[in-house]
Order: sequence, then structure tokens, then C-alpha cells
Amino acid sequence: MSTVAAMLEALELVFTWPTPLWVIVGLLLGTLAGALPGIGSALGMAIVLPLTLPLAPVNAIVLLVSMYSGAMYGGSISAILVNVPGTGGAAATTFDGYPMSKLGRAVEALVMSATASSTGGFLSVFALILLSPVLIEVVLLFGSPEYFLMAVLGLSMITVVAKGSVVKGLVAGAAGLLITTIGIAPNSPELRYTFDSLALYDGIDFIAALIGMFAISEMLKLASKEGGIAEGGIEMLGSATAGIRKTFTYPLTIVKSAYIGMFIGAVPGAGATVSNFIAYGEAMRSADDAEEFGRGDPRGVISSEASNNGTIGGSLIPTIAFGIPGSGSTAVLLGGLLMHGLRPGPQLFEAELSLTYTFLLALLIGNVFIILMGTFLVTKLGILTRIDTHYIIPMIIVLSIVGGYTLSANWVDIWTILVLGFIGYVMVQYNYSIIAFVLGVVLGPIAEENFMRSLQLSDGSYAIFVDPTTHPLAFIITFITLMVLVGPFLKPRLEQLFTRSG
Amino acid sequence: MFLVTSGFMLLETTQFRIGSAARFPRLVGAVVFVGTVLLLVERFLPESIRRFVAEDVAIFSGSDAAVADVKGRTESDTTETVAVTDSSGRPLDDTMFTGVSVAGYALLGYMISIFLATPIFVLIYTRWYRMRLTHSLLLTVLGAAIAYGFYLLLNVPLLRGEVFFTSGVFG
Repeated sequence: MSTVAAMLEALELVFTWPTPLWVIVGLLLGTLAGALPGIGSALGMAIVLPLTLPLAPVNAIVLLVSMYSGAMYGGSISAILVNVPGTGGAAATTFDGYPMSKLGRAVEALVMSATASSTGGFLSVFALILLSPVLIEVVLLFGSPEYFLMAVLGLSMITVVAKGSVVKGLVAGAAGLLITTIGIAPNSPELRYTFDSLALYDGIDFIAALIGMFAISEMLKLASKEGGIAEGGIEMLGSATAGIRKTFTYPLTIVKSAYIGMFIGAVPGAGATVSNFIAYGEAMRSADDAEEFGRGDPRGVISSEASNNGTIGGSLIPTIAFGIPGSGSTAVLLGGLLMHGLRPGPQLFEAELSLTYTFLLALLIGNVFIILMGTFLVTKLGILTRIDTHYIIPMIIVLSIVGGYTLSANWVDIWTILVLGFIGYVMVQYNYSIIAFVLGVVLGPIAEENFMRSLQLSDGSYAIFVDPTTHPLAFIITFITLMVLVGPFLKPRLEQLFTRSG
Repeated sequence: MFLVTSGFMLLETTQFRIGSAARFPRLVGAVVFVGTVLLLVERFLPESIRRFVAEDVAIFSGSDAAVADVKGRTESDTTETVAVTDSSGRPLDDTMFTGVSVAGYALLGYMISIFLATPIFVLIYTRWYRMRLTHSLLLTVLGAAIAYGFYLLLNVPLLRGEVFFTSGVFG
């Protein structure tokens, strides 16, 4: 299908009822999940995932990407009103958003956040649409060895990008992959680790694993925090229209922050948690009056919010092109794609290209709704910061257990949710990366299938992954993976060497 | 945990009848096993290897000095919160109670159906945190409504237990 024909079909699809409804529902649910500290986009999307089962694939994915977008904006609400970011991506928003609220400009700050989020998200998704023909060409160059190696690269990137020990990250990722080997082996009738139980023949459901890892472990963590509500110290003052006007007086900050977000989002493991700080730092660096930052400077809110929504476009690149999610939210999104029979890679860029464009167009439309929502619902949003966590926890647990059972009415899914929820909680306590583990679980079946197919192609020789003459692309990915893993350790030595010789 | 599990899974690959099915689990199992052993013995390793095993690395630091300065100035200044639930004087800490109650909820759900176990779990959970009775009852009804909603919408056997009510709550 040609790009233009796919785009036209996508335009028709995105405006066909009930798809616009799922955009709005997704945005509202995402905003709610983002605004509640401790919930966030990945958890919110994970518990909604089983509910998408009866939906058509296009509507299910539109709902999930809209939730992702809404949560990025929603995270700023509690950041601005109570100085507690709803998501990691809104951490830098607290620096100036909360001081603005204290100065009686809460409404203006919230509307600025909505406008910057919306514009940043729009710019990044628009760039992704423009880049897509190039991306299609790249994706079509990939074969089984390259897809397997991309999975390894994604896992390696996460271990290095997220702060922590590389070995702990690798162990977490490989443990996730190991779990997926339970059940019938791909391409052979061997039963692995099933203990003669019929319920384990299909293996561990990755959606149950996602729910356990994100929802249950997060609720165990949240339970230890005192569940309080904002005492109502912030009054909803300020002008909404002034917020919109003010945002557009800093076009360069918006554009720069959006593309910083997009670039960082494309790196697996980094995401909005990193990009909002970098964009904020860049806005400070390029300001003549940097000392105003931290005292309620609008540029602080604009840079942070434009970058976190800008991350979305970037993070979709590795997710839909190579099946490598860059964050928890995109791991759930990938889970949603697979659950609805959509495989990332060539399928989404050839036969299902119109579907891919539909998701992207839904995100563009969603960004327009974010401004409307931020402007018209702004005075009502403060209520979200007054919900006690102990009211939320039992409801999330109920949704997780009921949703988990819905997957296939198999009790193994419920035990998976429980066991992985507890394991996830312990892993966080000992600084193991949950994202690496989840990525391993999601990537496992794809990685093993491509690994086995590669070895079939090479008659069992591992040279297929490193031979520059027959598989140059595979060689390059292997080389990059090695550099990613050992680079951070070689860098100080090389710098020392250059300093001495200089 | 990782060491024992990966050790067992590695050992188990020797029992597979089809050799090719063992390749992938053996590869990833070996990574988990070797990595965990390295983490366990990290303090006895030579310095160069110990750095690779234990040292934190991060490509993106996330904040530079100027941002850290702003962060320092603003982060202590958070809106006052008031607790609406009372956490004092309970025999189990909150995480432990949540863990036990989730496990109990799943087990009860297995026995008597998720539909019946849901309101019981929500009621116990909210009473434990001494929420107002009206709030407690409202959340309990909401929990039951969620379970029943899933049953109606997705047609899953949420009204059937594995030990009791095996032919459904409503017979």
C-alpha cells in the first residue's frame, strides 16, 4: 500500500465513529491516571489493557495511545497544584508550576501546561509522520538476525540508560526473557517447565506479567506511603486565555523542548523522566535571566511539558518499527499491539500501514483535545489532587485481579499477577530494573522466534550475528550493543588517555 | 531467587527431548545465573571487573548543576496534606497488609468466585484503614459493580468458584 493511500484510509478511519470517542475516553482516563501520584501512564494502561479485548484493534490501540498522551499531560496537574509530579515526566514542572500556583496563577500554569503539552506532542507526532517513509525503508532492511539483535540492543540500552548497575539490568532483562520460555517451545513440540500442568502449556501471559509488575508491585509500594489529600492551600486563580497567549510567546522553547523530548524518547529506557530535566536545563541555559527559573517562570512549565509530550513521538519509533519499547508505557502499548494480533516491524509498515497512520493521526487529534480539556476542565482538575491513595489502592487491585482473570479465565494468570507483583516489589527494593524485566517478558517470544529462525538460516552457526560480509547490519547492531555495554566504562579511561597525550 | 530459579531452569534444559528447544532458555538462563553469581561475589572480584558489576552508570544524568540548584530551592516546599485514613495502632505494616490482603483476595476468589470475593476484599481493606463507613460501603459497592460489569461486558466466568459455587453464584 502506498503511503498516500494509507494516509487517506487512516484519515477516514480516525474520523469513523466510534474511533473519536476512544480518543476522548483515552485522554480522560490517561489524564486521570497521570494526575494521581503513584498511578501514571504505564499502570493506568496496564489495567485498561484487558478491557480492550472486545474492541476492534484500531480502537484498542487508539485508546491506549490516547491514554499515554493524556497521562503525560495529567502528570503536570498534581505537579502544579501540590508540588508532587503525577508522573516522572512532570518532575521538572514542579520547579516553576508550583511557585506559579502559590503566586495565584494556578489556572494560567495549568493551561500553559496543556498548551505546551499539546503543541509539543503535535510537533513530535507530525515529525514522526513525515519521517515514516524513511522508517519504512529502514524496517524493510531488517531480517530475523537483526530483529533478534535489536531486542538485545534494546535490553542493553535500558540497562545503561536507566541509572544502576549494568549487570543488575542485564539479569533483570534476561530473567524476563527466561520467564517467557515456560510453555510449548516455538517451532517445536517440546513442553518446557510446565510440570505436566495443562494450564501452563500456553506459557505465562505477558499482559498478566505487565499487570503484576506495574499494578500490584506499585500498589504495595504506594501502600507504605501515608495517604493524604491536599489541604486546599492552592486557590484556582489566574486567567486561562492568558495561559494560552503566554505559551505561544515562547515558540523556540516549545520547538526545542518538543524535539529534545522526541530525540530522548527514541532512546530505549530514557523517556520523559529524563527528557523533561534536559529540556528544562536547556531552557535555563539559553535564557538571559536564568535566575528567574524556580520562582514561577512560565518557561519552566513550557519546556518540561512540551518535552514530555514530545517524548511520545520519539518513543513510538523503536516500539512500532522494531518492537522495542522505550519505557513502561510503550511496553504496555506493545503488549496491546501483540494482544490484538499486530506485530511491530514490517507488518505495521506494509499491510497495516493505514492502521499505523490511524494511531498517529489519533495522537494529533488528541493533542487538540488536550488544549480544550486543559482550558475548559481546568478549574475542576484540582479535585484529583484530593483523592487519598487508600481509596485508589483497593480499586486498582480489583481492576488488576478482575482484568487479569478476563484475559483467558485461567487462574495461572492470577497467580502470575500475584507472584510477579511481589517479585517486582522486591526488585525495586534491591534496585533491579522493572522496565528491563518487563521488556524481557514482552520481547521474549519475538526474540526467541527470531533467534531460532536465524540459527536455522545459518545451519546453527552464531556467525550470522557477527559476520560483516553476509550480514553487515547485524554486525553493526552487535557492535553498537557491545559499545553500549562497555562504553560507559571505557569512556573515563579514554578521556584519561587523551588528556595525557594532549 | 534469581540464582535458584535460573539454576533450576538451566538444569531442566538437559531433560528436553528436542535439543533446539533448549538453546534459548540455556542462553538467557546462563546470563541470569552468571550475572547473579557475579553480583553475589562482587566484593571479592578484581577492581576492573567489580566496577562493571557494581558501579552505577547513566548515559543521561537527567539534571545538571543549575537544574539541581532549582530543584534544591523548590522541593522542600510542598502543599500540606492531611490524612483521611488513620494508620496508627495496626498490627501489620501497610505494605505487609496490602500484600496479605491481595493474596487472600485471589485465594478467596479462587474458592468462592471473584464476584463474591471482591466486595469482601474491599470492605476489609477499607475498614482496616478506618475509612468512614459510608465511604467504605460506597467503595465496596463500586468494587462489586466493577466485577459484575466485567462479567456482563466480557462474559467471563467471574461468578463461578473453583471450590464453592462451582456452577455459579446464582445457581
